Amino acid sequence: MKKDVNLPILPISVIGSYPRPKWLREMIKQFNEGLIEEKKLEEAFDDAVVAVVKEQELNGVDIPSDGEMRRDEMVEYFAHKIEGFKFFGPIRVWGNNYFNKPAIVGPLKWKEPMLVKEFQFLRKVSSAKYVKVPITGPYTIADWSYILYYRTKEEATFELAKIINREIKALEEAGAEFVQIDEPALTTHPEEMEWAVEAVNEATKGVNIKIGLHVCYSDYSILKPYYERLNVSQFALEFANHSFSNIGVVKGLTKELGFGVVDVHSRRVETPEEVAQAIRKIMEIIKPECLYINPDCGLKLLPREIARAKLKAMYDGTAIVRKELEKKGLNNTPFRKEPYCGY
Amino acid sequence: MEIILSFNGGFPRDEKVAKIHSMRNSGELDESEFMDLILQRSSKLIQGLKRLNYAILTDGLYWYDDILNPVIRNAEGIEVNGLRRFFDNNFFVRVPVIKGEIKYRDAGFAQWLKSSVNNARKVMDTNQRIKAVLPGPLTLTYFSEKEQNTSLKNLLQSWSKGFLIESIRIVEEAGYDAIELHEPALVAKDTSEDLVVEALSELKELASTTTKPIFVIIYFGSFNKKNSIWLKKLSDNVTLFIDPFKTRTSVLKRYVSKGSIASLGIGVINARNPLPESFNFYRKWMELAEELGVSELFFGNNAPMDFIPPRPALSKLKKLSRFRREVLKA
Repeated sequence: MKKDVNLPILPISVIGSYPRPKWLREMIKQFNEGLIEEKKLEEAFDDAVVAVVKEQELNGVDIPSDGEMRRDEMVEYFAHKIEGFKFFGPIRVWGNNYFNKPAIVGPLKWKEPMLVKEFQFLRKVSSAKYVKVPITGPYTIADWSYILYYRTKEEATFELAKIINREIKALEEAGAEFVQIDEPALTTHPEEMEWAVEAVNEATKGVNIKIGLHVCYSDYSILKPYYERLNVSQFALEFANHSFSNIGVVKGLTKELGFGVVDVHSRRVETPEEVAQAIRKIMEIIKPECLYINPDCGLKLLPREIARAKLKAMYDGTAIVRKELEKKGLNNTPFRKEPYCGY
Repeated sequence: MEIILSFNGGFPRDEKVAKIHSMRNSGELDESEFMDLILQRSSKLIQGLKRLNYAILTDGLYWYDDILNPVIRNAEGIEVNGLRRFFDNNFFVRVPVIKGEIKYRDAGFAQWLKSSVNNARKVMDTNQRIKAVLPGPLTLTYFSEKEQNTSLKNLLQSWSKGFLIESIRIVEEAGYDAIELHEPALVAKDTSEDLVVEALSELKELASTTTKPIFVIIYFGSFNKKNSIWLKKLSDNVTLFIDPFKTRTSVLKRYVSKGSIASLGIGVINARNPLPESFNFYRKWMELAEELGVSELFFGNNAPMDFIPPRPALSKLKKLSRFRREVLKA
């Protein structure tokens, strides 16, 4: 039977990460202390994915992720799986928050699929039509690493782009239909944007599935000149964190927009009406058929009950606008993989 | 030429220090218990630096979160707000939002300074000198978020006259031997020439309020025509510490006239790279200092060391110490 490629209008998705259940955090701690075997931890990861996928689906998410339950950190996770990295130890990022910054100490090589098993498990346990697989982009991995082997960051980034490309192709081969490249660092060095954008394109070369690009903590005016050049179908961007004052920056966007409607840095849960209001505002710029609804960023750092409540607010707010659109005959939107949205 | 080893800024927090902070943050420790435990860790660091012959040093800044905090929490007329990227690093600092007139208002800084310097004296050799660390007026201005319509020049003057003069007085009163002012904003690309000039005038004024030596630490950027006026003799008691990973030797040769600077600091340890530097690299910069007629050369880390883990940080400090020993032997 042919798959129905339509999604409800204003499809709801997540960026990727979701708070780990408390019991999983305990088990990780026990594993790190040598108290439980790896097999037990693997089982716990699987159970956690089942729980958080269900939680997303119950709260109206149309395109869930696996909550990145197996990933401690978005760069470190990949650095452990790519040949050529070494870890010297954690460093502080701010206050008392640490990051195990990887170092590139040798030629970078793809060893084996990094996310295929994650995807296959997610696909098995989710009842959603489509699921999303987030992958950290080459520029962010390079920017957040010590580059001790390659002569320049650019050289290291393009090597990583080839690796990410190979991984996306492995995901495509395994049946993945929606991969999101996460590039929070992309705009942090405006003078590097020209080649950084090409590195992201290198990562998507020859890929024939839907590719999203998530960029956060950013000045999007730096990204704007590259909207067209980036070979992706969707930009997932944050707006709630800026009280939606920056939405004008997507004027002229001809791709889909994943519109961030809840702030992941605040524990205050948005009301459905606030979410609806924000969606109405963005629809003055982006047509509803080209809009996805998502949180600003990964929900990982929030307490789980707040994350859950934010998902619900996101759904309830979207539902208000969906009803308004229904009256205009807009019920569905196709799942697109093309790098434009019918403008 | 005398080579003096200098430890600048903060040493990376290890697991034990992180745990102490975490206990304070969760309320398991009150401020005085927190201070005791932090100073114990400082003592260990200072003992280590003593063994490595670092003659001038900080306490490791285990009680600082970043170069601005907690110092700015002792300023009236600001609120400490969100995180801002610290230049091109994956490191973020909490920044001041200007709400009114900036004035020093002690919120525990004086007590910390006194306790820390007394603690350091217990473990230091008599020939070692201890420095207090403050952000410079230009860097404070650079990271300030303005809500009021104040010019950057006025803001710079406010930080300097309203806050730093008093901070320096308190540092002196606490008994420190020297002051370390961090001014990375001087070499930031987006700092205007006007502000560079104004900051120099403020620095001279600050230097005139104290007899203590002031080390001005400049990092993550290079000197050029715009900021080269800082490469002249600043004041009798001011020594500039430059970042050789961003400054070419040719630039120094161009802007520093021979014999014009008696004392110079060079941050030959790259605090952003976990791999140690080579003896050849140290030697190249030592020879340049000799060529420039420097009589007192301070060798140390170019920036706070929070950007690398503790183990490589220590290895680098050890290697520089070995280099100095070899030079002395020769």
